[in-house]
Amino acid sequence: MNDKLHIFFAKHKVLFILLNLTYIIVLAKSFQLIAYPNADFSSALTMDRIYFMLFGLDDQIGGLLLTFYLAFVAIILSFIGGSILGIARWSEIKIFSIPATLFIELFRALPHIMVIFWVFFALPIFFGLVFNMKVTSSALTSAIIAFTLFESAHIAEIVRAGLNSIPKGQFEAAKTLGMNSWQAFIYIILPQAYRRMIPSIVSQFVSLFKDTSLVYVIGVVEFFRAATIINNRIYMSFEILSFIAIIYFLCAFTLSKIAGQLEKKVEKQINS
Amino acid sequence: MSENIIEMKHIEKYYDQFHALKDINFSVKKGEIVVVCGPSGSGKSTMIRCINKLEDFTSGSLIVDGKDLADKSTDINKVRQQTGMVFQHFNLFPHKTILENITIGPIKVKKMSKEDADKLGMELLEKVKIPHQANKYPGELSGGQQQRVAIARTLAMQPDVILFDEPTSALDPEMIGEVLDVMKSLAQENYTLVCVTHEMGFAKEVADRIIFMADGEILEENTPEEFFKNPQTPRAQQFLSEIINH
Repeated sequence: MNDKLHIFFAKHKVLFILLNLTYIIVLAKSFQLIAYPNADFSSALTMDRIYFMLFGLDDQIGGLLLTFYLAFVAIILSFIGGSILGIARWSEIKIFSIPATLFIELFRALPHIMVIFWVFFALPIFFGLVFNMKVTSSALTSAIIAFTLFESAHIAEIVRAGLNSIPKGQFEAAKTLGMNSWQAFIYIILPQAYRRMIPSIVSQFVSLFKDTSLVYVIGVVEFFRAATIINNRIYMSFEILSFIAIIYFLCAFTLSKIAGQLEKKVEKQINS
Repeated sequence: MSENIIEMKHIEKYYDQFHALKDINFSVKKGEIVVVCGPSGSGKSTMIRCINKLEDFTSGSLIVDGKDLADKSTDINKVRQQTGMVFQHFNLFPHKTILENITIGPIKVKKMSKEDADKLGMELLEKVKIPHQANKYPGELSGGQQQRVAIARTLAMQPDVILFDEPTSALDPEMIGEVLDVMKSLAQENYTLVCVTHEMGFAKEVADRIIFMADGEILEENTPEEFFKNPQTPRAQQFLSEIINH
């Protein structure tokens, strides 16, 4: 029985790390001992505060759950957007590649926090002036739009690099089988490019996940803002910030571990 | 046996200023086995890559399987289905299993059903003697095995002509034999083959004709016996003496 359990944990190391709360407690304890012996985690982190930071209020989701929601939606949208932009830029068909290049270069050159502000405050004004539409901006929607904009630009560059890394011989081999350019792209080039992109795309998504904390500036009550709200009330910065640091670390760490396993899985399908 | 399946007339090709092919006249009959040899940089690969239009030629006329490649309205994808090509670096699809590498052409291009394609694929793997590797990925095979898969992949499209572009040049010496054996078996089955190769033993044994190229020109065109016994041009004499001395 013990053996079985051992094998299970060996196989699902990642799950083990994430689910094992003792890990968090041990980390917090050692933090406390080294950095700040007077820290009082038990009175700072009451159940209802932890609940608020993880799940938000009963009638309104927030906290870590909202962070996950925001990251998940932004990842899906920026993956789609980034793929389209990256392929368009790679294609060298001018009507696609020029607008894509302009978009990518623009959003890679702007500070993320500025884009978030811009979408939240300036975009509604812009719509009002140009289309005479009255748009009320919701903080969460603005956050999703802002993230999709700049993350798409970053993903697009990864996609383009991935496509460029596929040797010309692959395209030629597809062509000699009688495939047209579209078939060669869909069945041969793109699937290989995505396999090669996995490490870069995942690290981009990990940084996206961490960057979601930026949206606290427009008042989205995600994990980071939820924590600052608590902190502003009880002034126990060390305890609260250490707690969210550990949670952020565990989530990001888990994500990159999962990516590592995925990478191993496709490794033998990458080079011949 | 008299019908020309490939007919090149006055083919010229320039890469910017560089004159890569100079007035190439060359034809291949159905069922013929032609070996193209010559020093590196002589335009051999460029010439056979013109046959399936992986390279464009600058001027001249090229008829493959009755279709005019100089004519822009010719559906090049149709022509390519009939002209298979085996590359120096195999160019197998690393994300597909061995069997999928062979069946993807018939399935996606010829719209064959997966069952039929798998059956055909297994038959071809038997033919190149590696049926037990069907579910592995190309990266798990040796170079010689990969090249045999590449040949099977080409055969799966049932082409009228197979072009070989230095198929053994990237292989370790001990693997060359197994690939040449497969090529010889194709020669006996009445396939039309055009091979760019440095394997003079293979050329002697199976070729109907040898083309010798240097500096973008065809310098000699002869039967293997004649070519090896008394090469006409100094370039060919020099080439053969270099090959034999090493």
